[in-house]
Formats: sequence, C-alpha cells, structure tokens
Amino acid sequence: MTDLAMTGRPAKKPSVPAQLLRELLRDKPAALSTLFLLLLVFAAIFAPLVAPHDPATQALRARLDPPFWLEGGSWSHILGTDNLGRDVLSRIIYGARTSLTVGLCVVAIAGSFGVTIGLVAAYVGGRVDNFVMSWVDTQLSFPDLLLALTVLTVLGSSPVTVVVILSISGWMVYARMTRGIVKSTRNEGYVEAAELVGCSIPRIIFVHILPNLAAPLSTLLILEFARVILAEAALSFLGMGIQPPATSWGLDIAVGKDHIFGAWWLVTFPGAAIALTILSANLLAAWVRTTADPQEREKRFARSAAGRQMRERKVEA
Amino acid sequence: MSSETHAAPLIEAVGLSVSYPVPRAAFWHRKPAPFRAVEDVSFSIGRGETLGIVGESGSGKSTIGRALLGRVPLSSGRAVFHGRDISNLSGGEMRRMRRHIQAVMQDPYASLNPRMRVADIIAEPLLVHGIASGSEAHARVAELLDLVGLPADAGARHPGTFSGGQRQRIGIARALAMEPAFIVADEPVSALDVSVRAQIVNLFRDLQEKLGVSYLFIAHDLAIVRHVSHRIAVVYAGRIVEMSARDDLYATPIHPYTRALLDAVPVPDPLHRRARQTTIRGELGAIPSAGCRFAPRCPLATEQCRREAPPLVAKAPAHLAACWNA
Repeated sequence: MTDLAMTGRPAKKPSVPAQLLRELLRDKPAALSTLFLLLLVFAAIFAPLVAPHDPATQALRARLDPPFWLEGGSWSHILGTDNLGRDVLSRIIYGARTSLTVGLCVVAIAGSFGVTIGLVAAYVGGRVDNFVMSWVDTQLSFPDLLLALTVLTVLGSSPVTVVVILSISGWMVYARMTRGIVKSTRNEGYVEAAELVGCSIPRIIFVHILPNLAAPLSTLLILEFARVILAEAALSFLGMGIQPPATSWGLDIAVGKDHIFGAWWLVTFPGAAIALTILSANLLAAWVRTTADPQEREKRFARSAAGRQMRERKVEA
Repeated sequence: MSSETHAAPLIEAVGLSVSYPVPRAAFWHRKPAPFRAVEDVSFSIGRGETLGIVGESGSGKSTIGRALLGRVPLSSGRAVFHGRDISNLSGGEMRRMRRHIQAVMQDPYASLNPRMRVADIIAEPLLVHGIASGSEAHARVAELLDLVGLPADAGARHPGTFSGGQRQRIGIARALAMEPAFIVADEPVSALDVSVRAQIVNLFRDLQEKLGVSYLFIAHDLAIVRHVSHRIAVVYAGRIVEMSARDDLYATPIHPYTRALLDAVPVPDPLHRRARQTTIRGELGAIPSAGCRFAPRCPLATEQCRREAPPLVAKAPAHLAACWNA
C-alpha cells in the first residue's frame, strides 16, 4: 500500500502462477485433489517403473491373495492378487494409463469439435445456428451410453472406437457453452469497437471473443474428463470397452464381481481409484470455477481475511 | 468557432433512409410494415466542421451515425465520403474505409476490452491496418496518450484502473490513432459524470483545432451540442426538422419542436425565467402514416400537417426547417 502511495503504481505483484499456487494451497480439498491427480498422472506415465509387477503376469500359485495387512497377505502384492494371480496394485496403475489416455483423448477431440461448432453457430447465426442447435438437442435426448453400447457391439470394441464413440456422444455440451458465451460477448461494446476499428473477423474471434471462454471451458473440460473416465469404466465393465489383455479399472471390477464375497479387494481398489479420480476432478473443477469468477474470488478473499482476523482476536484474548 | 460555410463537403448523406423489419406477432398475422427509423435525411459536413445532431431517445439520431459508419443497411439513399459512395462497400472495403472514418462510442466502460492493456487497445488500429507495429507503434501510442491528456505510463495499465472520463480519453485516442478525417461521436459524454463532461467536450474541440478532423456529434443535451457544433440538425422521429448554423438555431428557432426543446432547457435564474411559450406533451409514440411526424404533439398542427409531410426548405438564409406553419 505504501508502495502504491509513493510511486502511484501498484506494488510489484507476484507472478500469476505463483499467486494461483498460493491460492490453491489455501483450499485444502482442491490442493489434495490436485496432488492426487498429479500422482495419478505420474504413475500412469512411469507405470513400468512404478508398478511392482507386470499387470498381465499370472502367478497361479498366488491366486486371490489378500492385501498385505490380512492373514495370508504379503508385501510382494501390497493390494493382493486377482483370480489369475495378477497384482492388483500394478493393474490399477496400468489401468490409470488407460483411463487417463481415453479421458484426455475424448476431451481433446470432443472439446475442439464442440467449441468449433458452437463458435460457427454463434457467429453465422440464422439458419445455421438453428440447425446446429436442433442437432445438439436431438443428440442430447439420446441416452449416450446405450448409443455407445450399440455402436460398439456392431463395430467391435477397441480403444480407438471407444474414444471415437465417447467423443461423438460428448461434444454437445461444449458447443452449447461456446455458443452462449460467444453470442453474449459479441454484443459487448468492445467487440463492436474492434469491428469499428477495422479488425478482421479472425482477429475479433481470437483476440476479443475467445479469451472469455478460457475460464468456463477449463472447468467444463475437467468435469467432462471425469465423466468420460466414468463412461469408459462403465463400458469396460459391461465388456464393450477395453478388452483383455489390456487393463482398465472397469474391466477389473467386472472380473472382481465374480469373487466379491471371497475377495473383496478385487472390486474395492479399482472402484476406489475411480471414485477418488472423479471426486478429485470435481473438487478441482469447483476450485477452477471459483478462481475464474471475479465475484466468487472476492468472496473467497473476504472469507480468508475474516478468518485471519478471528484467529488474531483469539490470540489476543 | 466560426460558422462560415465549409466548402467542399467531406462527407455527405443524401436521402439517407434506414428501416428495421418488425417481426410479426405470430405466424398467422400479416407481416407488419417495417419501422422507418430514419427517413430521407440529407446533410453534408465539411473539413474541420462539426455537425451536431440533437433529438430525444428513439428519434433515430444514433441510427444516422451508424448508417454513416456502415453498421446498418440503408433502405435508400447513400453516404458519400470524398465524392465516393460508401453505402454498399464489401466487408474488406469497409474495413479499409475505417482508416478514414472512426467512431467514439457512448459507453466508455463497455467499449474497452478489459483484458487488454491500454497501449494495446490504442495500437490495435495501427496494427490491423498495417500502419505501424513494434517500437513505431509504441511511439505513436505515447504521442496519442499525450494528445488526449493521459499520463505516459497509462499505456501499461488495464482499462479497469481508469475513471470514466479517462476511459473516454482512451477511446478517443484509439479513434484518432489512424488520423481519420471524420469521427462519429455517438453521445460520447452522456455516460460520464457531469463534472468531467466539459473536459471531454473541450478535448473534442481542441483536437479539432489541432488536427482538422470533422465530427458528427450526436447528443440529447442541447448545451453540450451548442458548445461543440458549427451547425446543428434537430431530429424528430427519424427526420431532420430543422438545420442551421448554431447561433441561428439558438437565437431564432423556427420549428415548433426546436422551440419546445429550447424552452425546456431549465434556466437557473428564477427572475429571468422565460415564459414557456411552446410546451409539448407526451413522448415519441406511434409515427403517423401520413403527414408531418410531429403533428400529433404539435401545438400548431393543422389539417395540412396531418395530410402532407412538410419538406425541409430554407426559411431563412442557410436555415432549413420542415414546417408548414412556421
């Protein structure tokens, strides 16, 4: 503050990433979620180094071994083994690879397609807009998992087909959101000013309109990422997604459900991996949303300032 | 400011008409007639001249400005800049024309992109028209900031850190960046605090003296228009009802609407309060399909007014008015 008074300029602010990191650390659930997701990504990338066993190696003498803390468990299979003696932990780590890859691919494909379509609809308007939006509505009224199952049954399932089918059934939300934001931003005074200055249409779109999309789009991408992971797990569970010998959390649960009373760890650990991933993604998305919204952010600052004051008063008392 | 005639018009409006389609109430209704927002408006503006346009809300005064900027399609008539018809330019041609015809917008809060630095906002026209970039643009921005009375370090900041008046200065700097010959200023001070209006209006005048730029200055405030304009056109329901040199208009208003407007200006001295001779009631409502558009509110209206629209003719030297009875 004194800095401001003396030079008439705002005090030197910390860089944007440093500031964001500090805010993230202050929000415990979001910080833990980010940590979990980072660990997951790390484990997925370096799976061969991190995993204690090959996920496909069978050890028939060590079938259905329980986790290490139970009677009969051992440290060599921390989370136990499945009905073919494969290491559960290693399968979860390799399963993370599948889930994250499918999630990222689908979000990237569906996101870029949806954003483009929404942008075109909003910018061209008129009949094109009507057509695109009715298309979106029609497709949204379809149960997407049923559609995916039907297509996969006919075409046969492979990771590529799963990605394609989930992208086809997931682009509509992006189109809708993009269209809404672009339409409202187009009426902003500064967009009209840019047109009056003589900016080309691409410049108006990329410099003046699309930056408004960054915050809501990143929230939506994270939420959709979680939804896609869930959808992939569901498809794999139903036997129409990832096929053995590849691994997937959904696939593991499908195998484990036959042994649910004898070996609960077969469904519990992959299930927990799914649940934690979805939960983390949702918590992170919530944090991104509040961070990107200036009003919410102000509230957050006010809350933390009030909390600090209360603590100080307690110390004084 | 002199009121001499400015030879060789820079920009001309010839029979300018704009109409907006009115959507039907329901699909079984007949399609309603389009709304004639501006009808048969003609004027010319010389180099370094300011034409003020006055009218109440909904009179079509902004539409006239938007028509000259090529923002609304004309239903008839044309706009001529430097002897060239600019009313039906293609997108690319219109963009090139923006070098010469610029605008200052009404709302200084909405018209600056909050994500851009002021220097980038002002340099944007230079960049998109390939006039300057890099250090050249930087120097030009510094020059412009100085010209509009902003501190040199303003360029590094974002528009959010400026007041309304300062933001309008930024908007003016952006409009001036390409050294346009003509600027449409659509109510450039109506969103500002009364205390800073005078500063911005004076800035417009100073810039005109320095740069010789012409303005179409749109406002609903007679005092402000009087301050900046050489000539003034009074608009009612999309038509010019009176147009003359500034001093003539204020000294000897001819049209009953102009007289009513001038009478409505509050006088701060109760002893010198004028007798309000012409008062009008109501507000701009449905436009009559025939005759003078002001007739329903006019104290002087006769049968002729309701039958035939009065032409805009010279009632005195260089003083045009559209009224049968004045």
